[in-house]
Amino acid sequence: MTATMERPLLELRDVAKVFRLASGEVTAVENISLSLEAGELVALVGPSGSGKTTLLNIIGSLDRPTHGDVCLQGERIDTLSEERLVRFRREKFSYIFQDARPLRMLNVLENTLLPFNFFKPRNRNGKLREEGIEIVRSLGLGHRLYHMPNQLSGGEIQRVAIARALITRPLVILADEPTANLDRENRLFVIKTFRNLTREKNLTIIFSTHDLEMAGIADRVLHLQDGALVKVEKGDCCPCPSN
Amino acid sequence: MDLLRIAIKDLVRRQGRSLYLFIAVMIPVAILSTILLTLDNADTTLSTLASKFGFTLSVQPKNVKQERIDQVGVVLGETLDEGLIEEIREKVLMYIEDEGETLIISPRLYEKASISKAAREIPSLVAGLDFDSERKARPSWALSDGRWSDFRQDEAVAGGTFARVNGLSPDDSVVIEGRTIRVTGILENYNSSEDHMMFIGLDKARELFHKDGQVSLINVQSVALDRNQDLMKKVVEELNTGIPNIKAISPQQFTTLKFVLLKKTFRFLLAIVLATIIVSVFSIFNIVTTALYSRVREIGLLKSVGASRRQLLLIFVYEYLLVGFVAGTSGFFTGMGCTWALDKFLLKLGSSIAWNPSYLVAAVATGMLCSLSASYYPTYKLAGIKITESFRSQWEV
Repeated sequence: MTATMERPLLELRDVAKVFRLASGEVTAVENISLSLEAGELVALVGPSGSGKTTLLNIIGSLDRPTHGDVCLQGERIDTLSEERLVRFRREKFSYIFQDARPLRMLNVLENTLLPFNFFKPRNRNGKLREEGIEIVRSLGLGHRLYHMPNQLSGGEIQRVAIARALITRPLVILADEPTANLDRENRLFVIKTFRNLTREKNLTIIFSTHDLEMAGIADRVLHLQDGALVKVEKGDCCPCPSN
Repeated sequence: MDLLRIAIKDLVRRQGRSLYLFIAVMIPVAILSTILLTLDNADTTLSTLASKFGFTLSVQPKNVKQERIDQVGVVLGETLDEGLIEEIREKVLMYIEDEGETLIISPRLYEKASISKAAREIPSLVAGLDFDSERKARPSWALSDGRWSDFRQDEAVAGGTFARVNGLSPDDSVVIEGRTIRVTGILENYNSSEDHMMFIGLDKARELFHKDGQVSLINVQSVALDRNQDLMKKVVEELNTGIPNIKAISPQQFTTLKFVLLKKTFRFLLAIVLATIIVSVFSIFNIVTTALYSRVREIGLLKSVGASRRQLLLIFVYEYLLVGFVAGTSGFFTGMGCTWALDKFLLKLGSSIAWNPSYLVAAVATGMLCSLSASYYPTYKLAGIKITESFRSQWEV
């Protein structure tokens, strides 16, 4: 009998991050090991300074760990050169930031298609624009395609960020407090969109939040405290809020 | 959409900052253009002046006393033998290679005479000249009225001032030394001694004034000598030492000296322009640095969607090159305007501003170079910022 070991999509092994400051060393992430599967929605929760953003940055290859390994599809990414990382990030990751203001000189569709000014995706000749329009429409911004960012509400701006994250068809989306500046209705829209994307497109989405209600919608909730992973809860621990 | 279009859109959106940058680049370019165009203008003016003197060098009798030189600088009384013409040609050709048609030797005979016109006596200066060689040497000579004379006939051309003062016009007849001469044309004014003369054929002048085989002055025109002042000085020296009883002088030397002085002055001004450009580069550096730090988050966003450092750098380089291009072009045309105003109200050189594409190219290149050299370093540094750092930045406008 042969046992087939299925590889996790993302794997962190004993990852730590220490910032060396003039005042001394600060441990932002302390020996965290975890695995993430494709199609999983994961929430990182914890108080300010607990290491959520640092952990997200390490997972998304925006920062290198001081110690430990980070692997995507079995390949170590924490040791890649900066040049290779740029190419790697383009293909595998998308990011949504808390303050994800789009470029002010571009309209909604241009902002959505922004990544393609820097690289052309393989096997996707033409139709990028149509795909962009489709994604924007699916996020309820069909009537805002050619509007400029200063004509959009906070919730709409965050949807543009989601559209921009989706257009490159990444494996993983990392969202750092994507709902922080939104009202409840828009928070729910964003998280439910994440929920649907993971289920329908088999995307892996990791987001950080202070909002336990929103975190409850995730498959897994990782609780961080002083850089350490203190608790892992199965998702849907909170009743899924109705819209 | 590509990187250039992103750059253009960004410039348009940041109109205020783009305007500051534009002004910082345009001012030194405008100053540079003004200096270059004014220098060009002065060059043209002096060249015109030089051509008014007409000849590269003149040979006159050696011992002409001051009182023998007329107030307009014309040798009177003393004469040279026309046999010297060939001797002078040989000496000049020792220093210049085969010049073919471009070496022109033109003798003149000057005499004071009283000209009668309708029973009125007009004291005048008559120049007898070899009309063919004179016109070859003086292509800029033109008539303001009438036609050129046939100098073998009893015909004359009057200098512009002379004709105006004495009321002469084409087809008037005057009497010189008892011979009736018809005025056929009036020369344009050249602000030179020739404006005050009457011109008749050399042979006719010798006949009227009984100066057979004699000339007052032998003018030499040589392009090679005009271009090489050192060589000209050697030829003048050779003539003065090699031929007795003559005095060779270069009427253009004075103009050349003025020109050299002017050039030195402009070199000094160019040094000031260079200093202005350096100061401007520092101003641009400050403007760019401030502008870039207000775009740290934008840089982070662009990097997060896949922009490499090189691509980011390229966007900024496009932006600053575009500003440099527009400011350089505008600076050139502003410089043209300043040159016109400077000439009109201060220098009064009088020459029209010549359209010189190479100056436009120089102005645009200076603008682009200023803009790029001042912005490259801060841009390069900032394009290397980490995405995580860019979102932590407090800079925002």
